[in-house]
Amino acid sequence: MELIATTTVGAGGALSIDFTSIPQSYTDLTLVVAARHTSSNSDFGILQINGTTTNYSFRYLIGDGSSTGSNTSSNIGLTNSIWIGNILGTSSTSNTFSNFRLYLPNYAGSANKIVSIESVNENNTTTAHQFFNAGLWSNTAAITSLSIKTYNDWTFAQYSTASLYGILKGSGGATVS
Amino acid sequence: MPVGVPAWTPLANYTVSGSSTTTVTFSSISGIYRDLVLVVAGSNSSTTYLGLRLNSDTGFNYYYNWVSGNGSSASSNQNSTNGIYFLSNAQIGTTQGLYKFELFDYADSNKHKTIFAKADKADAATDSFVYRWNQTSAITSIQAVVLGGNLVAGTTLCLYGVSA
Repeated sequence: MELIATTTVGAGGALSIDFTSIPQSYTDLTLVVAARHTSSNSDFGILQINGTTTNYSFRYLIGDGSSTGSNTSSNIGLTNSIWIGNILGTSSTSNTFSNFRLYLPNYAGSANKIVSIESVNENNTTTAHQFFNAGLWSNTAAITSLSIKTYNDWTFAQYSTASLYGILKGSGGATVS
Repeated sequence: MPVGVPAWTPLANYTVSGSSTTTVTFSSISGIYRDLVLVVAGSNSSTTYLGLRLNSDTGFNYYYNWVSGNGSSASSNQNSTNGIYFLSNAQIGTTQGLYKFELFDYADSNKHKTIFAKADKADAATDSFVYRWNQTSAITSIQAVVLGGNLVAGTTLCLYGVSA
């Protein structure tokens, strides 16, 4: 696993966190994000790939401290992106950020693109979550850019961070048959 | 972490070709890492169970609990079985899925082995399993199997070592 790029939101905030011109030389990608926004209530965090707004689907599992649930993108009416979990806002405990880990296998290949998502935040209230999501971008194009936003286009708060890593397959430490 | 410093070391990889692959075996696994990660991405000719057997052990030595979200309900269960299988909703099938296995302290002879396994298949479910293999032997081989059909060409299996 090698670090490709990392970014930290400055004092002015940011409407999105973007990785562009992603090198095509790795096997898989993993994206690690810690985020908070500057509006009040928590909002969906969403992922868009290559600037597109179509051909997304997902199926998730969520627990919020008092209940669990599972649903699909079509049922909740979110089809222009993949839900990566909830991003805390100013009504949440101060200095508390939501954390996300995304894994994108074979991102440069010619099959439809899988996005595996794990998300956690702890807020000592029922608006805190553990969230697992199986996402799919039904597009055979290679992934060259990733964009993280809030569903309502809120501003990311200062100190929100995101790091993109490349993972390259290889050999030499085991035999395979 | 400085740019360019690897934390996962690639150990071996396999890309399925043809239409007869039901088993992929990683053997002679180096014991110098702390953990292993096996990433399986792809599909199968039919819907079935994908799983792992460690050191050729087919006994009922694998204890698990799982949570699953299938798009309409959340569920959980526990039991034991004869391999590390996704025995819930996210079976491998004819559409793309990701199956990631993290094997912690795989070479530590003082520990039973803990495996965190996650399956993500957008048209079926997201499943999370924790397994305990009740053996203290170091893991030196991993056999990935499908219990029906065959792995589809282009499916990839990549093994990595994670350094302490």
